[in-house]
Amino acid sequence: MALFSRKKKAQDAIRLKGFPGHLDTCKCLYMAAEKGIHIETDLLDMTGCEQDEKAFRAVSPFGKVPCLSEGDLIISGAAAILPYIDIRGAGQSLTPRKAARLGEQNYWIEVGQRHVAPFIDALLEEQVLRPMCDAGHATDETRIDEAAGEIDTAFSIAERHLQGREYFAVDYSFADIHWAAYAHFCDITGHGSLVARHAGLKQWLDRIKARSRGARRTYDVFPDLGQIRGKELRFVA
Amino acid sequence: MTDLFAFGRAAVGASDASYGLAGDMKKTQYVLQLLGSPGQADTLKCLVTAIEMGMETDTGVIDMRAGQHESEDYLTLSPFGMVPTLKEAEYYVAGETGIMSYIEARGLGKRLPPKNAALLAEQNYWSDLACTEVGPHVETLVRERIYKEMAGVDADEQAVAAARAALVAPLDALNAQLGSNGMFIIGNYSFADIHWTAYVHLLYEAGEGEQIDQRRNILAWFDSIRTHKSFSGQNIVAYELLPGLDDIRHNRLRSVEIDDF
Repeated sequence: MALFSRKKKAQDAIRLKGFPGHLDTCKCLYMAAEKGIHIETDLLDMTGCEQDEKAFRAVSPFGKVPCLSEGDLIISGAAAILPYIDIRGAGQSLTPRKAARLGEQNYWIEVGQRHVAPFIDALLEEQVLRPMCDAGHATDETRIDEAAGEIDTAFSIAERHLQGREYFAVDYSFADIHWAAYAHFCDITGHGSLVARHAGLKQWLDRIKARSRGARRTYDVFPDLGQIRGKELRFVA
Repeated sequence: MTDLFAFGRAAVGASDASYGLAGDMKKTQYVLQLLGSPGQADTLKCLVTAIEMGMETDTGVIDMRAGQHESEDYLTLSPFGMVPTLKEAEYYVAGETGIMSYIEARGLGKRLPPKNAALLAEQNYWSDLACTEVGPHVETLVRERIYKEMAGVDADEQAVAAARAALVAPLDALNAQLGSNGMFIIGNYSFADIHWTAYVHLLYEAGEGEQIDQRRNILAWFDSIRTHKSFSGQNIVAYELLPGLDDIRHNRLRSVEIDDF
């Protein structure tokens, strides 16, 4: 198999290799839940640095996680996987048709990637991932406080943007997929107040949590702390 | 408060001040205004997108070396300080991803992103690779080779060597991809070509063209980029409007004027 070889069979299962304590993996699982795509999951133990091992680099040369396969097709990195799932999935694409909304969606995705994701990663590292590898890990409280402060600044600006809107780009879009993952990881690392203190952001998250496909809430696809610590990558749809 | 967008043809603007506020942009040709920096890859990507999509664009310069992107005036437009920022009538958007997709959707002719799911994923993979594996190192080389020379400061040769070393793997990967995929990165011209155009151009301007010259497939691809006529069919070549070293040194950006709609 090679990256982006284009042969696939209709009956091939879609498999996702990733880690439950990894933002981009969870964004892809959440997108799959929203689009009604069934995903088979394979654990990539990032606490054991499996993303740097030769076997993984053979399918993802730059170590981009997660990695999706469908038949002979292999795609790595959330930037490529999310639109793939969106198009392969049920219903209309989440990409807005109006230029202004598309610009808005992508602006908020970039804001999230630059100004939120690195600090969520810091929280995860300090509070969840490093203690999983080293029971004696001394948490860096200064780093946690700084990360929470940066997230709060970004959330304050997002709060202003969400005034009078249901979602980031008016209608539900890719931007909400990204920000739902940020909100979830704030919550499970004990920083749920970063969302809760902003009324508009809290209402947005309530709307996100109420979304469902069939009988299931799509938000439930996000792993809880127990699943991350137990290294359980599950997809229930 | 200074209006940083008070420049160019669009400064006289639309007669209806509320136009665009609700996102209900018409296909009427308004002149876009782009506020960016000539030595910044993200600005170049937006400029190339505007040209490829046949969108007239007046440009203004934000002096990032002087910290103008952190000024109160600029943060009013782009609260996170992201550069560039684009304005059309009363609609504003900042950052490369938002601006490129906005211009593309407003543009003339056929759409740039592939409709096929696997091709779209491939386009995004190569765009992402450029931004994450190439962009930071090109930024280092531009800073060390161009900006420090302008400031009369010696380049940090260790930083230069590290950036060069880090570029080997992604440039080799692109070279291999182009060897198997024809004239453009995913076969047809796409956003992936725009991302890589900006970085390869800046490598040349920073005096690091050797990195490209020694990779035959990238060199052939870049030769075709240098003469690539607008994707939307206008008789204009995006590469010709990209800022050269002298423009970077003098903080100049050229505007996009199209006369053959």
